[in-house]
Amino acid sequence: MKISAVFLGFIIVFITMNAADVIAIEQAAINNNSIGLKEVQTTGPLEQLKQLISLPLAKGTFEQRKYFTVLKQPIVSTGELHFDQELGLIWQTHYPISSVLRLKKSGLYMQDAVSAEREVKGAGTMTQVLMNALSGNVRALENEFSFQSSTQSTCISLLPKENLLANIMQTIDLCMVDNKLSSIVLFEHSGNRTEIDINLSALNELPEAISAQLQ
Amino acid sequence: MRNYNKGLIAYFLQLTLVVLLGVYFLVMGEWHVQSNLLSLLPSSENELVLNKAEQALFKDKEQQVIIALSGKQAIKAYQTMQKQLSALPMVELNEFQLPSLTEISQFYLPYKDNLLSERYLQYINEPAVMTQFITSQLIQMNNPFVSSTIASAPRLSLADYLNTELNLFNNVEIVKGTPSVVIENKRYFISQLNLNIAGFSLKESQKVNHQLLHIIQQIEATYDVSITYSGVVFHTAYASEQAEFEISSFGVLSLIGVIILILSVFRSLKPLLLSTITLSIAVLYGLTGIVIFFEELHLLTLVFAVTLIGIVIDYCFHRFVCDENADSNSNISISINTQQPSSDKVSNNYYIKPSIINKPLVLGFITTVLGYFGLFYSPLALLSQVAVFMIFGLFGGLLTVTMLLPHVKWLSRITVMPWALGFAKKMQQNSILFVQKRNVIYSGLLVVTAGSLLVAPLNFNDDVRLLNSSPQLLLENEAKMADILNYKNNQRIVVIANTIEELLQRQEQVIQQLKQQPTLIIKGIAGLLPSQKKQKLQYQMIKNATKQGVFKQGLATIGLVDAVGDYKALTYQEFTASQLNSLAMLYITKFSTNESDTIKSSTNNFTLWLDVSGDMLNADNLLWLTQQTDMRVFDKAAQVSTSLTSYRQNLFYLLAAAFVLVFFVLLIRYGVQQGVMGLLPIALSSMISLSLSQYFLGQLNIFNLLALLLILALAIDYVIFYQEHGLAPRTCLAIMLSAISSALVFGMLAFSSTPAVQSFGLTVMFGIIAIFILAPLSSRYRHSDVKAETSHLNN
Repeated sequence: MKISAVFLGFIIVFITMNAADVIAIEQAAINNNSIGLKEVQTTGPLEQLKQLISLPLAKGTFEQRKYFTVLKQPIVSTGELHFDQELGLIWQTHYPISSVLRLKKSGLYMQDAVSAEREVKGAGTMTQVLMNALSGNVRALENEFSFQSSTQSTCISLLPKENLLANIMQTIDLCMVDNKLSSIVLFEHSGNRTEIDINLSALNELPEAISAQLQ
Repeated sequence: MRNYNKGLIAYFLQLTLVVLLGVYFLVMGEWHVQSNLLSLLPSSENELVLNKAEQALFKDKEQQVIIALSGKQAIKAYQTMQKQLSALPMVELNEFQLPSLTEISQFYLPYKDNLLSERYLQYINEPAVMTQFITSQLIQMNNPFVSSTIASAPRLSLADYLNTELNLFNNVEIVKGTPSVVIENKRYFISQLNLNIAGFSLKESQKVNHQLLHIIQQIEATYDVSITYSGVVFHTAYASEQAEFEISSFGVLSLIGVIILILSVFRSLKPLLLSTITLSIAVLYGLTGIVIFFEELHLLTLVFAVTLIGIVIDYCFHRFVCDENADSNSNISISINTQQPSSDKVSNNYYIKPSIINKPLVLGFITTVLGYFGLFYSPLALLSQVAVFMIFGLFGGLLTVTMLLPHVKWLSRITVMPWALGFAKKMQQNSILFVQKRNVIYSGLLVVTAGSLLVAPLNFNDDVRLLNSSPQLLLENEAKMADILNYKNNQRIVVIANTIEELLQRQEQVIQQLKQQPTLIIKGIAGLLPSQKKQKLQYQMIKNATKQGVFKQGLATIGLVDAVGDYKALTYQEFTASQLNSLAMLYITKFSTNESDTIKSSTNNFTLWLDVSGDMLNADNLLWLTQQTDMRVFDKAAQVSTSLTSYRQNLFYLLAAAFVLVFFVLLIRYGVQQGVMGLLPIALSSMISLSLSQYFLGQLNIFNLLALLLILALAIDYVIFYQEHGLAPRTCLAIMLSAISSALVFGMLAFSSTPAVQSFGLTVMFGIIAIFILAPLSSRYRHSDVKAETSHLNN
C-alpha cells in the first residue's frame, strides 16, 4: 500500500514536473510564436524588397500572360531574356511570334517578324523599371515608387510616384521566391493586367552575340 | 526792303504749305512705320504672302525664352527658379503638356477606320502578315494604346496609328514632374517662358533681360548647376544697351567736339542753334516727301538718310563763314584787304559776299539731287525712299540757308575768329602747292589705287550673321541650346493655302516628296490631322480589306469583332476644339493678307510648318521646293542676306550711275578739263575709302557702300565750291569745318562695336579725309593767280 502511494506520488510529481516543462515549452512556443509574429509584423515591404538578390548580369526565361478585360482568355507568350545593368536588356519572344525588345543606352528599340528595328519613344521608362526589378536594383526602384504590402505575402506592390508611370500603370507587383524575383504583375488603370513568370540565373558575362545587340 | 519782305514771306508761305501737306497726308493717309527688312524686297505676290505666313507662324517665338539646367541639384534649382520666374510680371511659364493617352485614344475612336499608319497600310492586303502584326501588338508587355483601344478597335489599327504618330512628340521625359531631355548621358531640365513685352519695347526687353539674368546667376551661385539660356530678348537687350551706350558716349563726344569747334571758330553757340533749326526743317521736308509719295516709312530709310545731316551742316557752314555782316575787327583777312573786291575775282579775295555762295550751293544741290534721282527709280523701295527723303530734305535745307538765315539777326553777330582765318590762309597756301603738282598727285594716286584694287579686289560679304553684334557668351548659349533640344541642323518648311483641306493635302504631298530622302525625320501636324481626302481613301481601304477577310484570322485569335462603321471625317474644327488644340496652335494658323493693296489673294489664308531633321535637304528636294509657289524653306538669315545682296548690288549700280550724272553736270558747267579735275577727287576718295575699309575690316558690306552716299554728296559740294570760288580761305575754312564736323559725327562711329555701324563709320572717316585732301586739287587755279596773290600780300 505504502509502496503504491509512493509510486503514485512519484508519478504525480513526475507528471507535474513534465507538465510544467510542457507548459513551459508550450509557453515558450507560444512566446516564440508571438515573437515570430511580431517579427513578421515589423518587416516592411521595402525591407522585404531589399532582400531581393542583386543580379547585375543575368539570363532567364519568361512566360507572359496578358489579361484584357474584353478577352476571355489571356494572350500567352514565352521567350528568353538577357540583361546587363551597364549595357541594357534584351527581351526576346519566341512564342506565338518572334519579336525582340532591346533597351540600349541610346533608347528602346523593337523588332518583330513583320517590321525592322525601330525606336520606341516613351516606353523606355517602363522597360527600365522592369530591368531595375529584374536586376534587384532597389535603390533605382525607390526613386520611382513607393511600396506597400500586397495581398500575397511573397509580393510587394510598387506605386508609381511620377505622373509618366502613373499614367501607364496603377501598380506593379513584384513577387519573390527564396529572395529571387519569380514574377511581375503589371496592373493597368483600365483593368487589364500582365503577369510575367520569370526564371533567372546569374551570368559572369553576356554572350557576345547578345552584347553586340546592345551596342 | 520790299525784296527782303517778299523773299521771307515766300519762304514762310512754302514752309507752311509743306507742314500742312505733311500733316494732311500723315493724318488722312493709311500710313505706318515698317521695320521688316524683307518687306522692302521687290517680292512677288507669292513671296509677300509667304512672308506674312512666316510672320504669323513664328512671331511668338521672338517672345520666348528657353532655360536648361543640369547638375546634381538640378531639380531643386529648377523648382526654386520656376518660383522666382513666375513672380516676374512680364514672364509667363509655359507648361505645355499633351493630354493623357486615354484622352487622346478616346478622341480618335470615332475616326478609327480613317486613320492608318504607313506600316499598317503595308500589311493591309496580306492576311497572314496582318495576323502576325495584330499578335505582335497584343504580346507587347506594355502598350497603353493597345490597352485603351482594344475594346473598341480590336483591329489595332488605331493603337498602331497613335503609337506611331505620337512617337514624334515624345522627346521630353518627365522626372519628378519636371520636363527633361537626355543628351549624351546628361540630363537637362527644361523651362520655357513666354514674355509679355508690349510692342517689342526696348526698355522692357532690357528690364526683363536684367531680371532673368539676375535670377539665373543667383541660382547658379546657390546650387551646383550649370544653366544654358536662349532667346531673342537677350540679344535685343544687349544690342540696344550697346547702341544706347554708344549713342550717349559717341554722341556726347561728338557734340562736345562740335561745340568746341564752333566755339573756337565763331566764339558763339549761335551757329549750332541755327544749324539745328536748319536741320530740323530739312528733316521735316524729308518726312513730308515720304508721306506724300509712300504709304509707309521704313526705319532703315532713316538710317540711310542720316547722311542728310552731313550735307545740311555743310550748307550752314558756308553760310556762317561767308556772312556779309561779319565783324571787320575780328577778321585779319579783311583788315589786310583794303579794297572791296570785284565779284568776279573771287579766288584772290578773302571776303566773299553771301549772295555769291548761293550759286554754288544751288549748283551743289542740283548735282546731288541728280545723283540721288537715279535711286528714285530703283526697284528697291528702300532706295526710293532714301532718294525722296534726301531730295526733299536737301531742298528744305537749301531754302532755309539761302532764304531764311540771311534774314536772321543773329547771323550778323557771327564772326570768324582771326586765328581761324589765319589757319585757312595757311590751308590755302598748302593747297596752292598741291594744285601745282596735281597732275603728279593724281597720276600717282590712280596708279596706287588701281594697283591695290588689282591686288586686292573689292570683296563684299552680305551674310547677315556677320553683322551680328551679340557677345560670344550669348552665341555659345544659342549653339548649346540647339544641341540640347536637337534642332541644330533642323530646317523648317512653310506651306500656305486658301483652305484647310488644300493646306493639309499640300502638306501630304510635301511629305511624300521628302520621303525620297529616307534619312529625313519629318515632324508636323500631318500625322494627327490627315486631310479628308486621305481619310476617305484609308476608310475605303479598311472597308475593302474587311470585305476580303484580311482581319478575320487575327480577330478570331482574340475572339473579337471590329465592324467598319459609317464614314466620319476628322475635321480641323473638331481637332482645334479638342485637347490637342495646343499642338494645332504650334503648327498651324490662319493669317490675313489684306494689309497691302498689291496682294490680290483672298483675305484669309492658312499656313503650317514642317520640321525636317536628321539630315540636310538634298539638291533634288531643294529644287522641288523652289519650284513650288506655295511653300518654301524658312531660313530668315539666308533671306535677309539675299535681300542685303540685292540692295548692295542695286546700290552699287546706282552709285555708278550717279557718278556718271555728276560727271556730265561738271562737264557742262566747267568744261572737259575742269570736269575731269572735278570728277577725279570724287572717284578717288570713294575708291580709297573702300580699299582702306577692306584692308582694316577684311571684307566689305552694304554699310560701307552706304557711306559712299555721304561721301559722294559732300564731295560734290566741296568740288563745286572749289570750282566756283577757287582756293579762297573762307571756302577752305567752311569746307574744313564741314569735314571736321562730319568726321566728328560720323567718323566716330568707326569705333562702334556694332559691325554695321563700324563699317559705315570707317568708310566715312577715310572718305572724308580723302576728299578733304583731294577736293582742292579740283579748283581752277592758275599760276597768274599765285603771282597776284603773292604780290598782294607783299604790299
